[in-house]
Amino acid sequence: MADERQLIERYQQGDQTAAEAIFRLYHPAIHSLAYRMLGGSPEVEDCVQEVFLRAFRGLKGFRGEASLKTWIYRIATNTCLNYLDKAKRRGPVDSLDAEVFEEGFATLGDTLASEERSPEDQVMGVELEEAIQVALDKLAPEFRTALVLRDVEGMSYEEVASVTGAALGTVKSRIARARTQAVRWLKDYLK
Amino acid sequence: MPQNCEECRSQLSAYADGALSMDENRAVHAHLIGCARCAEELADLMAVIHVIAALPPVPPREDPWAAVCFRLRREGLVRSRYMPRARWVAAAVVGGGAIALSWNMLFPPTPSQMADLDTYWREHASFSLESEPVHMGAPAVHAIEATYQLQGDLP
Amino acid sequence: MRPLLLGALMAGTLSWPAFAVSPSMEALVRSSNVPFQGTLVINGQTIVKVVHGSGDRRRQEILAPMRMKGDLIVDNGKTLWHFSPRTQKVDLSPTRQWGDRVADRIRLLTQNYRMNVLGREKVAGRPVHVVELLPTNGSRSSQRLWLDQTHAVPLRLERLSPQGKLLERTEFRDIDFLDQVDPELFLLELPQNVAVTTSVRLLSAGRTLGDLGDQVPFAVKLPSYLPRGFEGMDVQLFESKGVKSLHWRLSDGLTTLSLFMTDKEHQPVMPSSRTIDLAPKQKAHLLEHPGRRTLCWTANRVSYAMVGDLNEDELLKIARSTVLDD
Repeated sequence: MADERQLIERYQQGDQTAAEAIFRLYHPAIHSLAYRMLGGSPEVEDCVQEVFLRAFRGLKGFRGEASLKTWIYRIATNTCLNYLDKAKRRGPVDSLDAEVFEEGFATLGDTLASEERSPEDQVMGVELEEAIQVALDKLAPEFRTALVLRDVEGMSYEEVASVTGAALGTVKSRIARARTQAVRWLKDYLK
Repeated sequence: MPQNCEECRSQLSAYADGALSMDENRAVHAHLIGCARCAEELADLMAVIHVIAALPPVPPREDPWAAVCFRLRREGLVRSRYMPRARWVAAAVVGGGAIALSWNMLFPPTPSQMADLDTYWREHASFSLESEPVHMGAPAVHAIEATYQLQGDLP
Repeated sequence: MRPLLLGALMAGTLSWPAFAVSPSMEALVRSSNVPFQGTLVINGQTIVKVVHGSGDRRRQEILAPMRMKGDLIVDNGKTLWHFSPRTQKVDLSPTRQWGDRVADRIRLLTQNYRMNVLGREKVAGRPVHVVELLPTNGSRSSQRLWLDQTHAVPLRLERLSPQGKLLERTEFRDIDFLDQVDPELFLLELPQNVAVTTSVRLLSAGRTLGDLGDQVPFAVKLPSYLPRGFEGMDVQLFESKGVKSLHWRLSDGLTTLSLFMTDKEHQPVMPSSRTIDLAPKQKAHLLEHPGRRTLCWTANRVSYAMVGDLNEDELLKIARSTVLDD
């Protein structure tokens, strides 16, 4: 977007309103992404703030080599993966496809159950949403990332590859395998 | 050359995304018509893709801009410029509705005074499938589905 | 056309006139008058028992998913009833017929889409022709249809994005074609103590905005740009939750767009969405859902919401054409 280029230029000159504009443009989506990636852990807010601080620091030297969206999502994904790494706890691993499964659990089940959800938020029924998030939490980070970027964020295979830095074939394979697991886990909720 | 189930299933995810070549598409297709199990697998896959795609966005509970801005200013990445009227305008332009939002907060319209996107989506769903020449009995169901999904009228 | 003709003869049907040359689009549109009953599966998730009568009368009972099981939708050609046994509520709304617009539908479809025949298969145990409807106007969604060889009724539908992504797959698990349908099926008998609601009240309808005259309580400026092939089909003025809105319905024969308009002071609350500049000091908000986009903006003291399966650029062009003189 020509618009975004102007915003970036203005930001690089130190314009605070340009920084806020960029922030407002991406904050809702990045917050959702972090929520889905971190399983609603209380660290989501910290993670998101860190994403934007890293983004703004890096934006000073940004030359437009990628689109702003790809670039911010790349930082967001990496930051989320760092948080996941730090928060990892040992736990039982499903032997069916060990590689795909995350060692350890996220805390979402409890979080969602205790959260106050307004009627407007309950667009699909908390039970199903909970089940989906638990399924996401069970996936190993790279599979979770691929699935979230593709099916939740609606990115194309190429965009996912660009954001994660993985090869296109790897992206396709991760998405397919993540979806296969998701079908297995969510089948009961859909029938 | 005819596909077996294992080959077909390995391609279903890409098939659903339109990421197969024409020949690959045809091969999957040909297998699906003869194989109820793989067809069911595709149906399950599509259902899961749809529910994941329908996950609602998760809005932040508070606005962290102030905290982020504070850090940016401290690190010398931005400068604030105090412009009384212009700033109010800038905030409106930047916030894309910030003024509307503030106005709404000061003088909240009663719920009955706001048009409803849920209703618009339902009306669109009711009409659009009806108007298409493909009238498989789905139209009203899609609309109802849309209503349930969007309005959360669930047990 | 020869493979089709041979196919039809081999299948032992005498339906080839329905598929002769371009009237295949016509056969498709006209097949809406064939009565049938069957079980429909939508996106592998929603299962519906359907009875379809002539004149677009319809009765649908939802079998799955659990949260909608038992819901009944009856359209008797004049009114649409939605009954939920769980909530014991019934909601009435005006029926959404095209009625006598068959000729328009055929014309638009023929103008804006090309029908390719891909082959023959079987769906729900019945022989079908597989066809695709491809847009002739650039980047639009397309459809693949499995049409019953005898009645041209679609037994399976796949809707594909311009990039070829599968957006929707709906098919009959089983289907019986009928000579006639018991008209009692299109009457809804309600248990006592059912609460009746009318969430959408139709106030007025017409082909053009002019037909509604001074019933519209706010000044309206329609977009001056429409994507190629799209035509305004009709306009409705409805009331919902105390707010009056206009619903301008546009179609290119296959893809439908809705433009909702209401007074600026009633503009809907926006969920988290992307903000796009329409013009200096004019923003629009874009929401993306699978197979559907919503663009909302305000101009000329009117709040607009455009809903449909159209790419972002075209949606923005439509929106900008309302803003130019603002």
